[in-house]
Amino acid sequence: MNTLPTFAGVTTGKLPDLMPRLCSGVGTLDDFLTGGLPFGTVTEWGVPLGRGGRLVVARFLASATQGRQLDRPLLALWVQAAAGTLDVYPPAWRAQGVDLTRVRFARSARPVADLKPLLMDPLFKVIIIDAPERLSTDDIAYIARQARINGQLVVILRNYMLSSERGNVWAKLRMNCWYEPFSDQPYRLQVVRGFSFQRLSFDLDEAAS
Amino acid sequence: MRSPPFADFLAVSTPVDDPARLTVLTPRVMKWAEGVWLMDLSSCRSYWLAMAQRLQRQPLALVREVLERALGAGVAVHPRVDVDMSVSVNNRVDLNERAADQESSGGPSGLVSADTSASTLPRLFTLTLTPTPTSVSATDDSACAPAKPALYVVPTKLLHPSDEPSLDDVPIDPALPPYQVSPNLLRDAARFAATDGLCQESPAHDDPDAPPPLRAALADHPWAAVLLLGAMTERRLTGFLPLETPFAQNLYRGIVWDDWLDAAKAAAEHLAVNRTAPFNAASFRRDCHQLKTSVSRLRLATPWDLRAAAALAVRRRFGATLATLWEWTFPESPSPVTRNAALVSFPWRRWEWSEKPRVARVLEHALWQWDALVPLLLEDLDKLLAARLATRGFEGKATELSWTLTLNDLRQLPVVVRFRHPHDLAREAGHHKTALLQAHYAFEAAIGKQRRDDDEDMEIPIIAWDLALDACLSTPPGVADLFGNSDESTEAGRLLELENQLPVALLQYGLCQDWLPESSFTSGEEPEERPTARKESWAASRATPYPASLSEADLTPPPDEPLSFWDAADEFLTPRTKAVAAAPPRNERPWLIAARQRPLFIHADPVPLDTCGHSSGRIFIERTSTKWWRAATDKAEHRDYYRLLDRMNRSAWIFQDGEGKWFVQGVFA
Repeated sequence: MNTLPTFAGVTTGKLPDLMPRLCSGVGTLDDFLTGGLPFGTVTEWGVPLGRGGRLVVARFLASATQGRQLDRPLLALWVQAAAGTLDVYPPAWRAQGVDLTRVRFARSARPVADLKPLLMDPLFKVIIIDAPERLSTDDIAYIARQARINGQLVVILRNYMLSSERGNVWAKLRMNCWYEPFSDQPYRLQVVRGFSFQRLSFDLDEAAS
Repeated sequence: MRSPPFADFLAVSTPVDDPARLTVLTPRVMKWAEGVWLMDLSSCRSYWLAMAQRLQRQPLALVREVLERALGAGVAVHPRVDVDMSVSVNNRVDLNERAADQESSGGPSGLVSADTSASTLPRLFTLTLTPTPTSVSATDDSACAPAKPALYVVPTKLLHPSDEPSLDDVPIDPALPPYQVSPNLLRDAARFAATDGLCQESPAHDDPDAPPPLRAALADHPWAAVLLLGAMTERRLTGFLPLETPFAQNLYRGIVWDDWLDAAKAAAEHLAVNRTAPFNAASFRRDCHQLKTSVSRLRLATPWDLRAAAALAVRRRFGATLATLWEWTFPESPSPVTRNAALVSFPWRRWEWSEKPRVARVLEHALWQWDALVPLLLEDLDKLLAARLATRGFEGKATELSWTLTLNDLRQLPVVVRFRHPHDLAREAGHHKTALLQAHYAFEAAIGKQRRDDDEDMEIPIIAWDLALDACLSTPPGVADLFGNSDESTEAGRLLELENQLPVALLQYGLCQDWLPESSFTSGEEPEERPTARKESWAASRATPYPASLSEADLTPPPDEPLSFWDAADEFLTPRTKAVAAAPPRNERPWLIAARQRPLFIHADPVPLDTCGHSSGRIFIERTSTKWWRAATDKAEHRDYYRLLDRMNRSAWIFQDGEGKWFVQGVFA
């Protein structure tokens, strides 16, 4: 794959170096991300609560647990780091294709301190830290280092839109994702850091490329 | 070879301290695999090693001698070691060689009553049977095609205080012949070939100096095993007798009223001690007398003659205690729920070990920093490990440690160190990474709580501590290999180890066939800890789970299927979803289609919706109703679910109940 097709609102650019990647199964999105999210890195997503962005992340999770375009299904961990009364609703996850036998959920306000043994072990190849309220720069640096060593994909989700003004130097890829109703391609992706591409519109039910 | 019967319980009388001591056990360490019975040595290998070390014998030689002595004099016993059994690296060659020797020599394996000697043999026994026929003749050493399964008796640890129901307040009355507590009820049950000749009558003239012979009864219920054992004792039968054998059935039916009432009185004494239910000894004696009088008038010789009597009728005439014992004697059709309930109410008694592995330390000077405690705690964990091997009953994997700290003001601060999964301390000897992690978590929590209780922010100096192994568990073969070693290379094994190192739980969810959001999934949490419904009528009910690993093929609709009711246009139904909904796949449940319209996250309890001053749009999704047939009232409650979209384009999953109130159930995050 050397060239990208042209999409409305998407500017073409140079392809980054290819690394093992986790695809989403959504053709447009995977093409945009040059194959998917790279393993061995930290990715940061701005997915405000109620805007539907986590549904896109769940698609990546589904690919990981099903082993789509991978050697084998992977174990994934979803850490709910935010305080609150929201709990996982597993049937919706399953409906999005997530294999519930290969994903574990944890709740921790101190994900690095509490889950350090998991971060140090390559067993969980995909770790998603959902809305951490107390994640220091040192914590993120540690996560990034372990991700690189263990070949893990760590995704940090934020309950707000990311901006280039408040950066995270340890995240290779930073982007915002949300849902715009009443549109043919209702999902939006805006890259803050990582690609020269800026924006993408897509539908989650597109077939894989 | 016909299928062997099923037996959960083994009643054994063994000459321990008291020859009349009765033991009811579960044979929980055996499994049927590839046509043979495998004895799980994981629960007793370390015990064998410790015993061998104590007696200064080779472990295998000790096992061999015990088997030969257990199966009686005059019988050439060759311990059968199946090559499928996983053995430790050190022992593998030796045992396999032994097995080969035995096979080639064609030595018979004996089946006689066990003649136990209390001085060198352990107290408790379990059984294995191999269906590979071997001769049961006591004196025939020639290799011949055997006709009956051989029987091996192998000592193992079967009782452990961590496994029985909680009976912390039950006093132990040494005057009573106790029923021993049985651990891990109904797990890893043994299957025994239904053969005659498993037991035999003991000689008429017993040697008064010889220890009493072993007799054991096997049954699906401990009470039945107790009754059968009493019948065997009455008939001076020794050996092992499963209740399902024709001989045992006849014996059981022939139990007379006096013997049944004697057993009932013994059980009642235990019920009185347990105090698990109201029990009046005087009333019970009257009930027994009344029962005896009634059956005498009716000229009924045995309880079997009255088996048609319902427990309810017995309860009305002769009281609750006798009715319970009657039910246990003649269970009509024990469902798993009924049987489990009956087992819980059985008068189990705690097996109190004389001592727990324990290490005490007095510090040279007060310490309070965790880093300073670690080296000393590491030493003590190694000492605890050594103490564990030398203490009978604690050979399994640790599930709980108690670390009692003595503070500088001589107060005791208990720190309970628990492991989510049974943890083998021996595997981490020298570094004890897992134990130290859990100890650290427990230490921080205990110290933090103590500071809050004292309302002080100062460090709390520690001057001494006592570290004890409180609870152990022998894991079944499915979790560990035969010598208690988990396979680190498997994903499951590594996951268990990692979970043991975490202060938080890792939850895995399963799906249930239920349309109610609260009831449509299960997790590893207890029902009380799970998000519960708003009202009792919406209480979570554990529906039948179905596999949570549907493939994409399952989601592909078959062609030319008729349209379903889901043909309404919905802004949030994508074309693919509409196509799927229009023709439900054969393997996909309707509620999984419904789940596509539900959010990834829901509130543990619905939150009242507040839309004051905010404009929003609602799109109807579905209507659900309670399981009116289970509700306290006949009136069904329904909820109308909508997708709420506010001006900020945020979506929430809301519903309106039957009273017109609005609530937020979830968020489309």
